[in-house]
Amino acid sequence: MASRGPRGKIRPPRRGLVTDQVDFDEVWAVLAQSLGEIHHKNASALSFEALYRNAYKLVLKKYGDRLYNQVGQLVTEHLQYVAVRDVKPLVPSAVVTGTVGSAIEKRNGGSKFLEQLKAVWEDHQLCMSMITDVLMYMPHQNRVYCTDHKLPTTYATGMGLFREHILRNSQYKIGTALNKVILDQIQMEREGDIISHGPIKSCVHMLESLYETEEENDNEKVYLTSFENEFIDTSTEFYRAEAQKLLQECDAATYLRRVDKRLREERDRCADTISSLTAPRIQAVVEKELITNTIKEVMSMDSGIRSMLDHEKIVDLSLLYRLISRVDKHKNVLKDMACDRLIELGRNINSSLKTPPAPPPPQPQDISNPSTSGAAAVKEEKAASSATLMAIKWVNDVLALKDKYDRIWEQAWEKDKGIETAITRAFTKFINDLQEGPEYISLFIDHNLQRGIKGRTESEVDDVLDKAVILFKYLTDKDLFERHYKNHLSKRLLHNKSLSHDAEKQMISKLKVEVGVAFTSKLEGMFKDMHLSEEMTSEFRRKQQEGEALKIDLSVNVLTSTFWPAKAVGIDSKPCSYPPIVEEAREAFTAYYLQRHSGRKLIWKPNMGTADIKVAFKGRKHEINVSTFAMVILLAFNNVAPGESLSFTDLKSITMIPDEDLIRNLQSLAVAKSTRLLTKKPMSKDVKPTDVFSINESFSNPKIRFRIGVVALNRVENDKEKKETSDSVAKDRDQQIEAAVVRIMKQRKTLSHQQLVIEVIEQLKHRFAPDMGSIKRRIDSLIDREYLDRVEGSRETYQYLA
Amino acid sequence: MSYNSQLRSAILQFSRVTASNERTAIGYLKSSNWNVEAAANLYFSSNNGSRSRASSDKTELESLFEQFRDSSDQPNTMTTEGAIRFMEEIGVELDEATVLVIAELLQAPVIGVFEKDKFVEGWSSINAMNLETIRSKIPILRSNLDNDTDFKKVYKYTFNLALPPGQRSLPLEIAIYYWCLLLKDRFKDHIDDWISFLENKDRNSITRDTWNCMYEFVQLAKNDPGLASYDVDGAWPSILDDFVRHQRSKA
Repeated sequence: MASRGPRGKIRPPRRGLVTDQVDFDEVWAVLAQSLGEIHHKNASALSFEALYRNAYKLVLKKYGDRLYNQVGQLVTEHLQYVAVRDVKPLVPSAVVTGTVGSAIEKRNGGSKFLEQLKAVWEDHQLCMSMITDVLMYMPHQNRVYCTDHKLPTTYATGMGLFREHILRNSQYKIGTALNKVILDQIQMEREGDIISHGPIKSCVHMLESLYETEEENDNEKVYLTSFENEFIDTSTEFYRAEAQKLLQECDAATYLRRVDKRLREERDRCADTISSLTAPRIQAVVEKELITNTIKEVMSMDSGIRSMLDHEKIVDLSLLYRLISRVDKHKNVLKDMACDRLIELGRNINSSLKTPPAPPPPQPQDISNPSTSGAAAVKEEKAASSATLMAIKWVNDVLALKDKYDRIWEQAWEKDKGIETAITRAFTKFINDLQEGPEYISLFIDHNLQRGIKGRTESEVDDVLDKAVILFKYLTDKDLFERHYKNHLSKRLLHNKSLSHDAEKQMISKLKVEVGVAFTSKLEGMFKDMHLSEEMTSEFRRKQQEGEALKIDLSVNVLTSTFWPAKAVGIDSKPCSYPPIVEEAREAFTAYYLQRHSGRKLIWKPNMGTADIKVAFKGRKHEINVSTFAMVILLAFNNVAPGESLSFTDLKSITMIPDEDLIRNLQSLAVAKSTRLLTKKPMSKDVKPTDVFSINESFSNPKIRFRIGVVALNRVENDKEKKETSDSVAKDRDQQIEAAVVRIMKQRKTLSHQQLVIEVIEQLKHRFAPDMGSIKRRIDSLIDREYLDRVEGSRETYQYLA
Repeated sequence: MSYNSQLRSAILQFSRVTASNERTAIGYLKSSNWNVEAAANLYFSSNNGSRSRASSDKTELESLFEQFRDSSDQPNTMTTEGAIRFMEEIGVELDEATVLVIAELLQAPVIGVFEKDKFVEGWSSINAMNLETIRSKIPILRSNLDNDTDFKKVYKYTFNLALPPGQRSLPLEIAIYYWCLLLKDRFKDHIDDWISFLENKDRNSITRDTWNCMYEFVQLAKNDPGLASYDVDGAWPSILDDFVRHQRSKA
């Protein structure tokens, strides 16, 4: 379009003079109309090309900002119109105002509203994307441009406008209504109604796609800012009420199941109805309201943990464990309450011992079993066997309890380490409450090694012994156990009552595994003594046969005094004056032994031995096993003419047996009916110093071989002996504490008081639990004797003085 | 080298005061710019000075010692009778704790016995070279008991002093006597309870460790009369644990 002037001068065209003239209003009018068509879903008739060019033209002419504002204006107006026309009529007033409507009404009304909102939202999204396309060349599409100008993109602006003019519509409060409707629907579902999840999910999705600002920060989703908190608040309220309701209505097991179900429901709800973003928060609400705040009350119900444990409700206990694990990784409530019950049950077992069990069924007499001997002895034997029965009952009861808790722990509590520790602590507590615990466990083993394992297979025996070891492990006073075990073992060995040597060895090796060689070395020493004695006896006999044979067979057990219990080998030897044929054998052995082991001292313990004697009454011969003392007494009558008698004083001066033993043996020989080899004048149950004895010529017993026992060993300790025992235990412990202190200090040279005490307790824990006072007194004494000293200027630190 | 009359009189004066020879005098006077008083101070405060002075003054202390030594005593040893007279002479009561301060100062091997060299050394160490100055030092020694460091030294030394020959621990009544003497002010809240507690115990002697730890216990009791901060499981001798338990059970 060149103009030609008269001068014919050719000028370069001034480009765009005419075409550059763009009237914004004119072009905008066209655009606005087209955008209106998009809003009215008539976009198919439009030419994208034309629109795009128009928009481009405006942008080129630097009308960009103006265009941007105008578009915003246009979208705003449209949305305001939509809010009034499409959304508002469907806002379910009943829900919003809180009036109660029927479920169907609420469900339908809510759904319609949600569907409508969803439709409006989808329309808006579609329109906005088309508008965005049209305005593609508008610089505001460009994020770089936008951030420079601090203006959001067209699309983001569109979303923001939707938030402001639909959800936050100041007139119709559509957002508030939306929250109410969703929460109402969820509430209905919680109460058991069926709702349709689709519309809710769509609307939640919408909320998730909207942001508080056009910068679209992830933590400023409208879902999070406007909806979630309200959801959490109403849920908290709901579950708080639910907890109270359940506590009133349900038993503990049902309660737990309901909680489990609620947790699952909420998890599912987050997946299919609302956003999974909420899952952790809503789980926390349910956990807090239904578990943390109430579980103790639930567990304390009659049907609570006590009954679950007592009836071994594995499923319930397992659920309880899982629920508590959600809120407390230490499971303290569970630990505490389970162990409280355990301790209670354990103490019941302990206290049930105070009421003695029913008398044992009479045992069939057999040859190997002794016949009775004297009224007092019978009574004592009864007492002893009832103690054994009690011990066995106690051990079995405790083991049953242990088995039960083990099953629960394994099956319901996923072998939880913390709970295991707590259970161990509980067992330790009540087992050590019982003063007789160490004795009972030893008696239990004694019983089994004497009788109980008869006819059992090796693995069954192993099981029994293992059970004893389980309880042994709980003992604090392992040294007391050792004492009792030594006593019982010595009786088994010396009286040849042990059923199986293998089982004995096995038991000892089990103990060795638990607490080490130091603990069992003396026990093993006892076995060694027995073994050596056997060898020595047979060698002695062989030698005697080479020379002048003795008139009696002598077998000797030589016991090393440090291995055996004081009762068996105590220095308080009770000598007596032996009849010549016995004395001869004794001297022969003494000579033999001292020649073999020079420099040793042999102390004879007649109170421990037995003798087989042959007696003839009315032409009938008997072989009778009696105590050594009884043998000495009976032999005294060999020197008395038939029909003559010996008084108590005579017997005393002939035999030199200590009074106590003399009386006890005479009781067996002259009082008990079936073993009355002697007659006593006057007849009475007690033996008095004034009594006179003679051979009971009319004695008869159907058995050829029998035993006359003296129950001197199984006696219950009297007070004096008890005090002696406890003194000797205390002395023994003091020595061990002192040795431990010296060992530790010798190695460490200097050590703080606290550390020393800790190490001493650690070193001794396999034997007993030393008390603080004893440790400190030992330290005092070591300082005084200049084994230790306090480090100069630091009272709390000790040093070892070499 | 010759000096004018003024310097010469200074040398003379210095020599007379310090009993030192002319060369020493000139050395000290030179380094203190011929000021006699300053030179004398320097002389007495320096080690060198006290040693050489002591050699002359020791004779006075030695003869003082001999005055109180009984002729029947071992040589170089003053026994109880002489010690008592000595204490009277210097104005110290026998039943005041100052006796123990002096015993510690003179490193007495047992109570009531002094050895000559320790006697001389002890008094010289505080510059008490004759009876007069010894008397003047007594108030200072007396006040030493109020000072924790000095008190602790005396307290610990007392165990050795009081220990009967050939024994390792103090008989209870002796321990109680010295505790009363030393602790009646420092431990006044508890001393009566402590003693009656000890008298009711079947323990009849006090070990060195208990004696030494008692010092710290007294310090603790001074700051904490209720004994609340005492840890019965801590590193105390068990007799103190028993006492604290006893006190707590009364409260």
